[in-house]
Amino acid sequence: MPTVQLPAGFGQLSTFVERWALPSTVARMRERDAATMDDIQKFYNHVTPYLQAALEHLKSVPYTDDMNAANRNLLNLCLSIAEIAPAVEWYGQPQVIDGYAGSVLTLTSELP
Amino acid sequence: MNRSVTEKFLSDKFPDLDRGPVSVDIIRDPAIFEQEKEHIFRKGWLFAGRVEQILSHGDFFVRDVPTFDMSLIFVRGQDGQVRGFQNACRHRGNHVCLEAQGNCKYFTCSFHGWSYDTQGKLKGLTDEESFFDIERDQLGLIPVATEVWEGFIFFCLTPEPRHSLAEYLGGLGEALAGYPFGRGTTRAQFTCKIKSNWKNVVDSFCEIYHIPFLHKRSIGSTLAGPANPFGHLIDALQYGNHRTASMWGNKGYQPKFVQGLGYQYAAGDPITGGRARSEALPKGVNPSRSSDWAVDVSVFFPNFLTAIGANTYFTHQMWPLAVDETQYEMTYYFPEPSNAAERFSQEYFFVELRDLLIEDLNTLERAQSNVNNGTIREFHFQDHEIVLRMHYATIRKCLSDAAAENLADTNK
Repeated sequence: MPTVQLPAGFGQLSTFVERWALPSTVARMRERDAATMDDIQKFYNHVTPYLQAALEHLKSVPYTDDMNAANRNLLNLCLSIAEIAPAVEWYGQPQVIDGYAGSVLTLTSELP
Repeated sequence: MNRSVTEKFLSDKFPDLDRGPVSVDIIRDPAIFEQEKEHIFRKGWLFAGRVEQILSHGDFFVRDVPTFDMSLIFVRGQDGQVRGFQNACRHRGNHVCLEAQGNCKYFTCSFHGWSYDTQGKLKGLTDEESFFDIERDQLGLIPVATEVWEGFIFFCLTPEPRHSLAEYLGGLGEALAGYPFGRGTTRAQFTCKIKSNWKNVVDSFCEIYHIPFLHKRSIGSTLAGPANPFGHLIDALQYGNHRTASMWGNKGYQPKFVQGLGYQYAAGDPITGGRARSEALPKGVNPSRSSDWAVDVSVFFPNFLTAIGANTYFTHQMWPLAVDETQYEMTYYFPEPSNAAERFSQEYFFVELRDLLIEDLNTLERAQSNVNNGTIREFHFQDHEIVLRMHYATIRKCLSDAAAENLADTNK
């Protein structure tokens, strides 16, 4: 198994890298959709205590294609937190309550 | 915000607008739908894309127009000008461009190899000797009237439009000119088909009355709050067929934890955060210069909406497919993030908006069912749904004007 890389100080988050450090909005949407609320809540509970520190760190990192793998992993974890935040903070379930079937949405362009 | 005796209705500004129930025949009747296509969509200026999508010579994107089963190419020619063309080879009609976007010197048809330059001229005609007196000068790509306003590329399917784009946009175009739309160089977009009339989809973004109810779990207390529990509009404006709803924001809103960090690391004030500043914005944005302002939603008649906040904007577009079916597109525009934390905020805003829209859409299909099955024959709009009332009145006026014009033409 490859070594999971995160910037110094964020090693405690390494167990989430494989599942949640996903490189695209589509992949993050799918992971949220497929996850149980228990999985999502665990991820949220473990990462949010480090989130402010992670964002302070990322604030000093220029957003470029050549970000190193550790910073990229940390950012991708944070982007997955953005994806699942409404599930925890608004709905208490992975999907939007009384939501339109998410599978009908097509993401035609995502942020680079 | 309890109405005092002296306080007026927003509707008082618009004495010509009826205040009674509104017939829903125009979202149910297939014959009216066909008239809308011909008299409103075929004659109007319709949004295609942003200039940031085609900054370099030879950059192009394809805009499908499902209402008319049409594919259009928008391309910045080698001379720097933006043009629109039908995506149709003059030989036998195949699409000459199969990619959604890109850069090229020539569009080459995959069927028989005819090729066209980025200004639409037919350049390569394979086996030309075997054709009979063919006039290649006459066989360029078919142009589509194309003009740009503030970086928004619009097209009109009438070959010689009655009005220029600036004339068509009128006061709305003047009011919003100067907003820094060009800062939003990257975009996230999703699309879906909704079993509802296109006007219902437009209207769902033009009132706040539903926010404390339908969105009670999410943004129920951002665009409404203790000082304005039903999210009464700050103002409503009508610019000919176009219109704007200026919306209130709750300064006292306390964000959730991740949401708060999304706000904190953003490049500017978020729309739902109740902290928007608008001093530097054009006069048409937050037109009342209210200190409680959050966002203006403007309808570029007929089917394009901008939601403009102090630092960010997103757009909606509705393409009618049938009287009770619409293709809907939402696009969020962002500046290039200056650091990786700002990228997090952008993702958060996009996710938040997407989930909100998912909250909205079921209502549209359910309402359409009850209109289609005849249970509901009229809607009851209140004062702060005035922009919806304007919509119905505008559609009726356009259709009656078109009918009068047709009659006049027949009598000539």
